[in-house]
Amino acid sequence: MDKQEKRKRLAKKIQLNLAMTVGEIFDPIDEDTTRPKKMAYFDRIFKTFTQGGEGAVNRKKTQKLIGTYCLFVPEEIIYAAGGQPVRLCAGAYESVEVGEEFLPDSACPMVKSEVGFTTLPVLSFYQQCDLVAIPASCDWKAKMAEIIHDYVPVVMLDMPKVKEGEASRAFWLSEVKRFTKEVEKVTGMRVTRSRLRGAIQMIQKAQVQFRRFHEIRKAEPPVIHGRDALEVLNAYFYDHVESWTAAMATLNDELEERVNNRESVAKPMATRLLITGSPMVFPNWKIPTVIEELGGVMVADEFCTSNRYLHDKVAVDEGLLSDMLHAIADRYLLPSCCPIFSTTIDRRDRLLQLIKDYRAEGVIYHILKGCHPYDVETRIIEKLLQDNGVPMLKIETDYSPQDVEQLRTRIEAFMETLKGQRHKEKS
Amino acid sequence: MSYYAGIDIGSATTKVALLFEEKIVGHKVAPSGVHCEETARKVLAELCQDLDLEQSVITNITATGYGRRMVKFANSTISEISANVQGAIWYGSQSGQAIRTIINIGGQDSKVIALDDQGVTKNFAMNDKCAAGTGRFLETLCRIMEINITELGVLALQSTVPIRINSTCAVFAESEVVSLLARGKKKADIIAGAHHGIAKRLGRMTKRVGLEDTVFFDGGPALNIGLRKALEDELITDIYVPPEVPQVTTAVGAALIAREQKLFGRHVEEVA
Repeated sequence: MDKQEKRKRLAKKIQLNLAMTVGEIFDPIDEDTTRPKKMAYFDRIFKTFTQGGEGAVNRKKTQKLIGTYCLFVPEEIIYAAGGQPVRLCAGAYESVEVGEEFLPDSACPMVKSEVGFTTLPVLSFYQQCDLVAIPASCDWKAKMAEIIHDYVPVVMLDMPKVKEGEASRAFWLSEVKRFTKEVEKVTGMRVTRSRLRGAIQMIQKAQVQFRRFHEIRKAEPPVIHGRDALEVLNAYFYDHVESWTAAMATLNDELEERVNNRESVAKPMATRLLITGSPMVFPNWKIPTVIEELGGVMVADEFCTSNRYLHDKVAVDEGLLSDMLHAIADRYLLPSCCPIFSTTIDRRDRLLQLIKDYRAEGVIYHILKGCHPYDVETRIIEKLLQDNGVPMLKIETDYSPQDVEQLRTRIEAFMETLKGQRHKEKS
Repeated sequence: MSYYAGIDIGSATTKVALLFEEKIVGHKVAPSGVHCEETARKVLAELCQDLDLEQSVITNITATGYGRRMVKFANSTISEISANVQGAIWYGSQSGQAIRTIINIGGQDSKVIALDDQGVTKNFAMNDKCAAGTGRFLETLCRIMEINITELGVLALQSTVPIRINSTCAVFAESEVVSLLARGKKKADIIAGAHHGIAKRLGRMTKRVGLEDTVFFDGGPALNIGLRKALEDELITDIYVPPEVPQVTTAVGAALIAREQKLFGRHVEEVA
């Protein structure tokens, strides 16, 4: 058997395993009658993963596909240049072993999974990208371009690590401008003032539904599972922004009705947890699934793949092209809570605000093995939460399903501790 | 020129192979039952009768398998690992293939043997006391599904996306499979999922001892085309299953060892 044939059969194996994982996740979900009906729209996107992700990405055939990583690549620019963005951050255990051929053991499972999908044809949209934009956010991302450039065309965006100071802003703006030129080259369409304004407005409409969704999630009792909240934002990775906005609007309508009818997804007095740390991407839903199987509710998260995704808006003062680019560059840099930056100030503020707004009783701090930026912030966040009287459980794990039972024990014990606290406070 | 017999007493079935020099003249498989020496004696007698041979023409008998020490009428015994290796190499040479990896699934155990380029055992792995992912597990599966064991493979091939079965334990799988059936899942998807689970388990074992082509797959479950395909998918390689009866390879190996011992007086040692 030659090398090419081996790769083909490996791809088939990974594809089959991924399909089985999708089935394992959605089988019980499909049988859950308490779930909001409008989630079906989002489910469909992930179910395409059983067939090579064909149809997951919502784009016209003529549209160029621009792959993005992290939360720093301005989608406004991609849409304005006539392209369709697809966020490629990956959460599949299946492709990790493929990525391991290219990376050291110490690399995080996310980058392994991403490199796996890029180098082996399992999900078609990874290979279909006309350009892949990678911000040099963490060390793994910084080296990624060199690893995958034989497979897809790549552009790296350099990131300032110290947000404060004019030099950082100016530097990042120059990177955003360079990215604009690269995208224009690929799509063959200029980013004009009116197109960019249109794109900004289009995304702002999505942000309206995003914020509405998160307002609804504050309701007591909770009307949607935290896992489903991860799912709807994860769907944004692949969907066209306008289709997503429309689907979100109907979901929000349904959820508001549930609020009015006091239709809860959890038992009364369910433990309210907030989750933060390394992002969780489908199908890596093991922790939210365990929490909710144990009767707890993940009321909020602080992930760049979810709650942070569409939170910050582009603030345009003047409608000139250069002003808009300025505003876009600022939106992706300044409010970012990503731990790659030198200070945790923004993340600390946002966490405390979320805990307060969503009345979280405890925090789960999720670290993917090899995710050094989040790991290094653990102590600071732990101290912050301690000072504010919020219990925290640190979980370091990867994409492997093997530790689920250990995680279940730890999360259950944590939830019991929180319940004990609640009784103590009452008496 | 003489006849040699190999007797392989497994937990589920007893296999007897009869050789004339290095040529197989016959083999027979029967359930081991409670008294394995009795069974071995009976199966050997029946085989001779089928072949119209006097039992006295057999010059040397070697017993192998977990009940080998119970067969008092055998001239020698050998571990099933060594017998399996000899059998696999013989079948490989018949079809012009150099066997480097042997995967064997039996009634209550499974093993992977790695051979070097001289056909000498380099390394091997066996499952522990537990019968997870063995023939016993497949039998349990059939009982729950109310199907015949020969239908397993064909049914498994009808599945497009197998259902993940987390446990290949013969005991726990029962409750898992029953609940899947109760939820209206397709038999084909459950069976394919079970095969996948076994393949994964064997895949890990194979990785431990090291995988090299050609891979030889024997034991009763090797008759199951669905399991073979699942293993091929998992190991990403083609697998060779001996054409006639993959259950008797170890008995053939034992008969070859009986011949070697008789002719060359080689001391037959227990390997495992």
